[in-house]
Amino acid sequence: MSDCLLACRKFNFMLSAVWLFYRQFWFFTNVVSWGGWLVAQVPLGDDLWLLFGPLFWLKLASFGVVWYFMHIFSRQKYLFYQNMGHSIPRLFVGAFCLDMLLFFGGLALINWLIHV
Amino acid sequence: MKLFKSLEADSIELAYGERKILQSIYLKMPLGEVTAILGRNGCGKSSLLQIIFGTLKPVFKSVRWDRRFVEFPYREHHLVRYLPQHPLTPPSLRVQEAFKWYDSGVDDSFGERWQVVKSKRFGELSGGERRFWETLLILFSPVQYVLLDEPFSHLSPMYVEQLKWLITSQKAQKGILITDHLYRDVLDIADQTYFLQNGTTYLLTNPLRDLMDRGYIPE
Repeated sequence: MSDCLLACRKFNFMLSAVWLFYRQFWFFTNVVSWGGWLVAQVPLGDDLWLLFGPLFWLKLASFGVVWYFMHIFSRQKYLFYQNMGHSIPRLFVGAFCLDMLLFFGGLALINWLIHV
Repeated sequence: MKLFKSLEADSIELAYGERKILQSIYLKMPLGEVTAILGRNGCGKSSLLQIIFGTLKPVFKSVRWDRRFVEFPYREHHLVRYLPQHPLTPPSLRVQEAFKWYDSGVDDSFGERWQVVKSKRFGELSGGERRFWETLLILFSPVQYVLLDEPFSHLSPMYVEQLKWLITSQKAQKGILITDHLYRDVLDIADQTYFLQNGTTYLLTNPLRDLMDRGYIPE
């Protein structure tokens, strides 16, 4: 039980750190993703499924841009998180998953609201 | 939690292109002592600290904690934390939030100052205040070793004195590695001092005399 509790606390701690990290660039990645959706003429329903692949790659590319600029211009920002034991790949993978969840979750919600 | 009684770093080789920065390093940092590294600008002090911390990958390294090699010490639970030369914390983060994140505790001796500063964001503090609180953030962390890279920079003399006292008081529970150009202040609190020159560390037996002989300070 205590092991489970400890694992939950560690996961919660990691998730909070990823959220703090993600807050540094959430605006940029969201502008790119929602912008991509708008440019594709706001598809919903079955059309949205067709756009899933391109939107995924767009998200991945926007993260590539964030990674590149942080690596070149502000590598020192990682140290705050590394001091808590988090590696750079872990931070980016976590932030990417969170970003995907928020974006596609948002799209699914819009889809559901319109079709209800 | 396993207690590591000492950290040893040697056989470190770091090069940028043709230029060798570190090549023949030996450093021993016991728990419960303050170990200092002095050296000229650009001699590789910060790089050495980052290599020990595990965030800078050299050509070769051997960093051992009680003879156990650890490739990424910063990922080990409650082992080591590092204060870099530049600001550490996100400017939008409040001081007390950062202390909570790091599980660092400030005691009652900071009373009113802590009350004033705790709800401020790091970006709102002056350079010296920010440096002071970031240093405490690392120094009071629940870890066995701390690496402090120029903790006295931007600090007023009063802050420097207080920080020296705090470092000395914390060393009973930690191994502390410090590097700074305020060599007199560093020597005041250091139990042992290394000098880094031409990529090599030298343990100083008579620090002031040795620093003069090596041309770090004037005669």
